[in-house]
Amino acid sequence: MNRNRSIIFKIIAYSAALLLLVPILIIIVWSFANNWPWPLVFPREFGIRGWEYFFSPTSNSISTLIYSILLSLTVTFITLLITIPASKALALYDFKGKKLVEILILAPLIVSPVAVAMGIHQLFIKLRLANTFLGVVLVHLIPCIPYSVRILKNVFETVGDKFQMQGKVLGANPLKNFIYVTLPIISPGIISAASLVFTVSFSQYFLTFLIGGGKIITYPMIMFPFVQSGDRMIASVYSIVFIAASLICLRSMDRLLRKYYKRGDYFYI
Amino acid sequence: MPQIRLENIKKKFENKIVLQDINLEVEEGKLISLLGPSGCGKTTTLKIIAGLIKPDDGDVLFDGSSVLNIPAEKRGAVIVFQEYLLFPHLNVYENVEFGLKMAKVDKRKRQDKVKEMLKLVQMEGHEEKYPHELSGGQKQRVALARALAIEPKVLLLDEPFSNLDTKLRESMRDFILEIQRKLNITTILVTHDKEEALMMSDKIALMLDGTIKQYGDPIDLYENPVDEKVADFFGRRNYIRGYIEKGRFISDIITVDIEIEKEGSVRAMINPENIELVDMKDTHHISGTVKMRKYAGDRVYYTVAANGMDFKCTSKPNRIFNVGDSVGIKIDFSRMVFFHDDLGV
Repeated sequence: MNRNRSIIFKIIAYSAALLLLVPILIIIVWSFANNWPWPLVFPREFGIRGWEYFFSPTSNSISTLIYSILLSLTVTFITLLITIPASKALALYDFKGKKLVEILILAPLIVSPVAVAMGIHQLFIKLRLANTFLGVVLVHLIPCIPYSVRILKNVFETVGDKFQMQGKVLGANPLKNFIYVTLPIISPGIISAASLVFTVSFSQYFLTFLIGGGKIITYPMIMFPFVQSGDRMIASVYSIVFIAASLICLRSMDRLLRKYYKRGDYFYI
Repeated sequence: MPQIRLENIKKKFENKIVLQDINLEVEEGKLISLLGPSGCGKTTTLKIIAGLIKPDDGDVLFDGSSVLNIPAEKRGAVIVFQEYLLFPHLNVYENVEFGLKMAKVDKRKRQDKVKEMLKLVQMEGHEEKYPHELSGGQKQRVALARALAIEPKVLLLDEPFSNLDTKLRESMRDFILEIQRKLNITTILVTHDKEEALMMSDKIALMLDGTIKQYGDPIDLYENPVDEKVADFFGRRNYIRGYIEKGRFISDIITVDIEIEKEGSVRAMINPENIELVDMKDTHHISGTVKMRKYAGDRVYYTVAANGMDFKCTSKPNRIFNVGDSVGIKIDFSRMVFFHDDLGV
């Protein structure tokens, strides 16, 4: 009985892993394949044209990638700055209109920001935020905030305010209490929220395209034309870099936060 | 002058009265207990003293001056919570150091103080450990050291023993008492455990439904409760309804001469340990039949039917009666307590 169960479990686990890995393996093969016509199971001609293009200075790929990462890090930072206090308030305090605030914050999960992007664009033109770095950062906050609030609110609900009370009676003023008690205790939640927010921001295409107006170019924007035009070799190269860059960024954010708060493994969310 | 004084403290949570007119005085260096069932407002009282909750009305005074406007972090009243709440991201040393760091004590002094505190709670050598590596008793010791490190004016203990097993609980009680005596620190202990309160406190404040029903020393509370609610909180009691006339307690069940100057309808209370069961040969005692027996090792709890009433009785196990046995009941009448009975006979 138990053995059967573990076999079933293994089958499910391996097939899930396979389903995730196969597409990535295919892109890796594609990134080196000059062409890969239909009946062939494996391509015959290999080359490094895709990688050459990516690293050539004329393609601007690397600088765009760095720019894009910086933009998403900025979005992540601002999102956390807004959502940590907001989530704490939603989780621990009672105030008038709490339900409404909660619905408004989570609204972008239900109504896609793309649907209201035109309106936002109009407004941003008036405010001179269109076509600027700040404008793009602000518009990215819309889809990012709900994810972060959902995670952090749960964390605050689990932890409660008992540690803050303890900090307080031990002489910590509100600011010190926040820095020395609250932040380290919720740090595992911050890592989860930051990872998700970074990924959401890093893969935004339409919002960046609209609000950035072609002036603010992020990585997905230089990648999509290749995916669309069917140059699969170059598209695959860009995809691999996209995946690698996200993974590296997430991993280093995780490491950094864990190191800063010494250890993040005492409390799993 | 009492070191801590609560004056007419009132508190409501969403229209539910939690505390009404709490008055309490605690002398310096004493350990008092707030004893009561869960939900009676004892933890709320503790939080009001610490400054974590503001009372709706009334005043909290330390050494004669009001501390209501002093925030919790400056008040000098530290709570050790039931769950210890050691900061999980800090090791033992850093946990104990926390309060000193907040108070900006310089590093050398902090080091000495932490060392002294860890020695006091016998946790030397555990400095580098993290809370999740400690046992329940060790966590409590560290929590205590952390609270004492900042030399608070008052130590507030919120159900500190309820997460420990019986054996550890007993040794931690002794341990905390020893430290409290040694440092002579004013301490308020919140507990729902009557035995704990009786054994540890200089004084007990019995709280029921948001009020302090009685405040006094343990023996007084047990032997001379102000009313039946207080009496019942401390355990099983026997009540006999009757009246007193010219120094005589008269009832359907017993009639006896007493030395109390009270008249009228009363309910007489007899503690189960003041009833002795004897063999039926001594005929001048009330006779009865054992209805129930619960054996608890060092004590035996009996219920004995006699004169149309069930007497609860606690005796030593040196003579054990069986259910159905005929026994004589010997009551120590001198220790009876009488409550006025408004309902009359």
